[in-house]
Amino acid sequence: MTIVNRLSFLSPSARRFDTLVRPHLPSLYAFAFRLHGNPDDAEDLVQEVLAKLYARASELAGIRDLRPWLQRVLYNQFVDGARRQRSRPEAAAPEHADYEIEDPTGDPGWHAEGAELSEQIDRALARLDHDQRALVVLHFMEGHTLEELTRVFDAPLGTLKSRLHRARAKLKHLLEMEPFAPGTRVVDIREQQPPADAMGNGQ
Amino acid sequence: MNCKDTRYHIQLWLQAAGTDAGSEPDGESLRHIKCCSACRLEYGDAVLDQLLRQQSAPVARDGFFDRAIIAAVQRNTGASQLWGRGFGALAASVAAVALVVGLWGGVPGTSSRDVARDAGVAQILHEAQTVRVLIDSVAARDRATITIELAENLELEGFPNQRVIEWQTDLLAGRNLLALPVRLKDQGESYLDVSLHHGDEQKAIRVSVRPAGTSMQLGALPIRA
Repeated sequence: MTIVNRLSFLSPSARRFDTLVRPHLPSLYAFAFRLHGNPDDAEDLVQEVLAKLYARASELAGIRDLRPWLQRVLYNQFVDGARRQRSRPEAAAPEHADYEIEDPTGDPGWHAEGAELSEQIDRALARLDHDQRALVVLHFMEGHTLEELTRVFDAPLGTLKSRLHRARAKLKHLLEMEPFAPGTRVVDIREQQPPADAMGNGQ
Repeated sequence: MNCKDTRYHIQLWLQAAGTDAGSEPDGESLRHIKCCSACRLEYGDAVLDQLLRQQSAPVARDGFFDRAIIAAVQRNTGASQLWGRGFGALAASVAAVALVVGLWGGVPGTSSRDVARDAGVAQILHEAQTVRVLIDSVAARDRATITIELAENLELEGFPNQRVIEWQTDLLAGRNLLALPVRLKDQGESYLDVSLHHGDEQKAIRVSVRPAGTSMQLGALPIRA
């Protein structure tokens, strides 16, 4: 949807803000959605961030690489919200109870295709710690390098590497992706006899 | 096949998987992976990374970005900065809002008045409230003319005692939002007419306005020519 008056009627400051942030909104929304796992909370989070940023519109104009900066603001806002949620007595449930969707049923191996696989990945992502989830989303889905993400998460490279390692291990476990575990695609060739010289171990 | 060769083939497979979702490492590599724990781990990571990269991004609901930006401006300025000089530097107190859908489609060069729909909105007396009109346009239209005609007891914020306001604007293809901060001056029923003109096309919609608390008949008023 386009605002008829966006160009002609928005005040200059509102227009400047719009011009600065609009190109990054799809990415911010996608990040928020992955963090929360549902569109309503994702919209609330983006809305909250924009409301805060408007007051800092002049500062935004001076930021060279705006998208990671915005993602950092959004992530911090998300973490603050999660902390507030946890501090409420009624929110004493496990950290990711909000995101937990029913466990995959049947055989959830990664041979699943299309939408089913996508849903399995969403469910698995929702069960990661939020710092792991944010890292996975920004690294794999948004294409940031770990080096770039040191600024987003304000953490050293080594910390991010080990966090990513743990996130991968958990995701593989959740998706039952250990190669040659029952239900994986590789099972198709399990009947084949491996050649004798392929029996090495990590050489 | 040794680990070095296997990992090389995994990388080749990964590159190919970007364009061919059905691909998988060759049989010899898979046989090695089956027997080598280090390569299994590497292969598992590679598969997972590929799956994550191929996930499509969630898309926001229609109009959310526009709404979010407007709300951000309004929360910071009380709407006083939302409207620029072109439409009156209107310091509207944006409270309850009515959404009126207007369609502007059809074949270019023809009148689309017949698809107009009337709608109503309840206003709080003497308080400026924003009526929003959605204009659905099948194509971009440069310098379309928008005319607002107000009943005597209705006032557009920033335009006191002015019953007809006309201006030109560019409509983009898709949904366009027109926000009109208006003030109801007495207890009587009222209305505002929104007309759109572009070349031979024209479209009009009447929005009935009544004091909040009174009943409202949507679509009861005739469409203006």
